[in-house]
Formats: sequence, structure tokens, C-alpha cells
Amino acid sequence: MKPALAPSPTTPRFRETPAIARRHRQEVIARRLLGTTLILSLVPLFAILIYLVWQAAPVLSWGFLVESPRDGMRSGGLWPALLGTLYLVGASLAAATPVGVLAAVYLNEYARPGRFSRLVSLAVINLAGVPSIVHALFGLGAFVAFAGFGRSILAASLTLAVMSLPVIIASTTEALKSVPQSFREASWNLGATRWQTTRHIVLPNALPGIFTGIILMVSRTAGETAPVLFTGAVFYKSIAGGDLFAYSLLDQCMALSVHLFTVSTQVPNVSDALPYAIAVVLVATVLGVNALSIALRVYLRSRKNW
Amino acid sequence: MNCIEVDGLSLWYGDFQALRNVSVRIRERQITALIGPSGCGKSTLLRTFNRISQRDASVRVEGSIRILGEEIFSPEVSLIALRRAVGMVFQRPNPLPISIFENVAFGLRIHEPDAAVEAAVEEALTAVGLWEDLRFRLHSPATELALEQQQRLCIARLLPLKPEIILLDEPCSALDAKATLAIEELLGRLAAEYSIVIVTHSMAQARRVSAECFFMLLGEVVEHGPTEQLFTNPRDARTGDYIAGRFG
Repeated sequence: MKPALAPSPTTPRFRETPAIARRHRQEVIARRLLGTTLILSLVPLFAILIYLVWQAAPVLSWGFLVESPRDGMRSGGLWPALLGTLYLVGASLAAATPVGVLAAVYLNEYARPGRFSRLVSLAVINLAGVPSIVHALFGLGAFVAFAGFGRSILAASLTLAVMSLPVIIASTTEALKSVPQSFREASWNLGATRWQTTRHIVLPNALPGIFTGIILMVSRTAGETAPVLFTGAVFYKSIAGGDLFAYSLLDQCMALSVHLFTVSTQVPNVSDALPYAIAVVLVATVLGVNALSIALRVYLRSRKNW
Repeated sequence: MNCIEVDGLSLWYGDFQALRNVSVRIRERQITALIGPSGCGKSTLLRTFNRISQRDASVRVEGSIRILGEEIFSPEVSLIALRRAVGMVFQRPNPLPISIFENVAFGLRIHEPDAAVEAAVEEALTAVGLWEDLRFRLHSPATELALEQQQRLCIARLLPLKPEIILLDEPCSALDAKATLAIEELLGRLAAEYSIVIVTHSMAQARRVSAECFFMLLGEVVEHGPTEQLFTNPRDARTGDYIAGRFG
């Protein structure tokens, strides 16, 4: 008779030992702990949104969006503030986007990698961390006083632009870096100049990332309070409700963030719902812009070939 | 006739010397192979021929390279004109993220914005054997092609520029055996019209495709000769050891 190929198992080997059981318990604890932290970070987000809308409900209406404030800002709408914020954000983007994007193109596509470009990148990152109140003071000195723009939409939006530049440069740099180096090499090897390579190959492929960065910047800019308070926002400005062209660049304007601050702290006997309603409009504006950014990104991604 | 003449070429990456006093003569209208173990400087040498290696600020070069009799390190040389005449194909196929047609037209468009591209594209794709397969889908993305087709396309996009020299840096290392043979066969046909320099890791490939062969080691050219002679009767012991597979 042939011997058995392997000894028949007397004691089972594939069983849970105490050491394995301990590792299983660690696994369960880790999973629960990590899951809990995720829920903890989601709860405030939804709590804020739900609480805001709930508190604001009595005031929210279409009229609230497109009317001017009445009764010393105790009733009526917030149109001047909403329009002011749109103007400030629009003008600051118009100033910051071309400069920021092109500066990033220079840094990434033209500047030779070395100490200088590392130093500039470091400066850009640190500039992004300067508190906005400091930018506010700079804007007051540089644009309001020195350049002579006075307290105006122009001065305020340039201040916001200076503030957003580092962020736009940083996000554009990321977008440019995500374009594979092999595309550039292919283009250079055919005798393309750097500009031809940038224009035909690099920029079209970096566009989704660049847009995303810019639009996320919008949502930050829209909520800034200190810079506009210092350089161009006012307590109250009378304009016709629903008029899209009520401000000129050298006017002062109202802004949502400042409006929220003044209504909450400076105006007596305001209905409880009013500040919440302003906050809802501010948040909705920002979320709307972010949704636009996501939609644009998805659309441009779908056209991407690599 | 020599299409490339290199004399006393040394190249440093920072403090590291990658090429040591290299002098070679490369003949026109045939395939020349550069072989040697990893890090021997064969790719570095290839990349000096259209000066693509010099983008890095830390690269320093001494010596002389004459291409078609013209010194390419002279300050009057335009890199744009040089790269038009000396095209390169890379290890990994790198079609541009645009359509097949636009990939082949790209070179012409950037050099001559008014050039008629249709005929040139057809001619180039025919030359690399892609026209019949792709003529009805010229406008689909090049990045969706199979790897072998991508590599053929990367060769095809050089052709409308009427280059003198085509440099290939391990062009088959991302391809399977069948695709490799197909590309080699293509190179054999192109050698009638173009001077071809190929860097390869595979001694078998060098032996199959090339007429002449350079063996490099530690930044130096150890031996150079007709491929058959270099493989059957190497003069230098190190060449013999390498082709016998004793190192590398």
C-alpha cells in the first residue's frame, strides 16, 4: 500500500488563535473609529445648512433677493448687497485670473527649475497664508489712498485680486504639473517652440484643473469680509431693486458678508430670521458657484483623451 | 557619407560625468544601433543629437557634434530647425492627446501654418503602414490606439517634416514580441530614405536590425563596427563579455 501523501490532520491548522482574535478586534475598532470621525465631520455641515434654512424660512422669498432693504434695513430685501458681492467677485476675478494663470505658466513652462523658481513658489505658498485682514490694510494703503481710487468697488476688488493671486497661481501650477511631461517632449522634439507647446498642448489639457481652481477661489472671495469692509463696502447704499447695472466701478457698494455682519450686530430690533436669510443667500451663492465648477470639470474631463 | 560626426564629446549631469570623450561616426541611410548595459550613456548620447538633453540647467557639454557637416553646439544653431531635421521616438509611445490626423499634422502645422496637410498625413501614415487600418477613423483620439499603432504613429508624425535623421530610444521596450518585429520591419524599410539611430537594450534586436553597432560602457564607446563582425568577432574583451551575457 502506498503511503499517504500528507499526514491526515490531527489538529486543525486554519483556526482563529488568540493572537488572530486580537487582530480582528483591532480591525473592528479601527473601522468603527474611522467611520465615526467621518460622520462627525459631516454632521456639522448638514446641521449648519438645515439650521440656517429653517431659521431663515419666514423671510426667504423671491422678493427678498431682488428688493432693496427698507425700514433701516429691518425689512425688504438684500439686492444691493447681492449685486455688490457679484461685482466685487467678478471684478477681482477679471483682474486676478489672467495675471495668476500666466504667471503660473511662466513659472512652470518657462522658468528653469532652480533656486529662483523654488524661492518664488515658496513665496507664493506663504502669500496664500497671509491673513485677509492684512490684505485689507494693504488694500487700504495701496489702492484707496496711494493709487487714489478712494473707497470703491475698484479698490476693493483689486484688494481681493491681490489676495486671490497666490491661490490661483498655486492651483494653476498643480493643473499644469498634471499634464504629462511626455506630451511636452513630443512637441519639443517636433521643433515646436515653448509657446506653441504651451498653447496647443499644455493649456488645453490643463484647462479643467485651472477652471476648478479659479472657481473655488470665487467661493472664498465671495465670503471675505475684512478686505471689502476696509476698502469699499458700505453700511447702506440705495439702488433700485433688481437693477443689474446699479453700480459703477468707482462707487462704493454693499456686500453680502458685510451686510450680514452689520444686520446681526449694528442694527437694533431686527427680526431673528433676517441674518439667517442673508447667510442662506451667501451660502447658496457659494454653493452654486461650486456646483458650476464641478459641472464644468465633469464636462471638460469627459472630453479629455488620456 | 557620415550623417553624424561626434568628436571628443563629454557630458556632465551636475558632478556626474555621463559621457567620456566620445567620438563616433554614424553613416547615413542605414540603421545604427547603440547598445550597452543600463547607465552606459547610450540614451544620453542619443539625446544630445537633437539637443533635447540640454533643457536641464545642470547639463554641461564639451566637444563637438556635426550633423550633416554642421556644428550643432554653435550659438547660431536654431533648435527649432535642428529638431525638425532630427526627430526622436521615445521608449513609451507618446502620441499627443489629439486626434490621429492632428498628431501627424502637428509638426507641419507648427512649422508652416499654411501648409496643406491632408496629402502629407496620408503619405506619412501610408509609409508606416497605418493608412489602410485607420483611414476611416482619422479623427478619433490617438491615445485609444493599440501600443504598436501608437508607436507607428509616433514615427509617422516625424515624416511630414522630411527629417534627415530619426532617433529611436528603445522604441520597442513597451511592445510585445510580435509588435516588436513589425516595428523592426518598418525601420528596415525606412532606412532606405532616412538615417536611423536606435538605442536598444536588446542585443538580439541590435543584431536583427542594424548595419553598424556601437557598444558603450560607463560613458565610453568601447567598440564600433559592422554589426555582424561586432557580434561574431569582437575585438575588445568587454564587448565579448557583454554579448555573451556575462554582465549587463
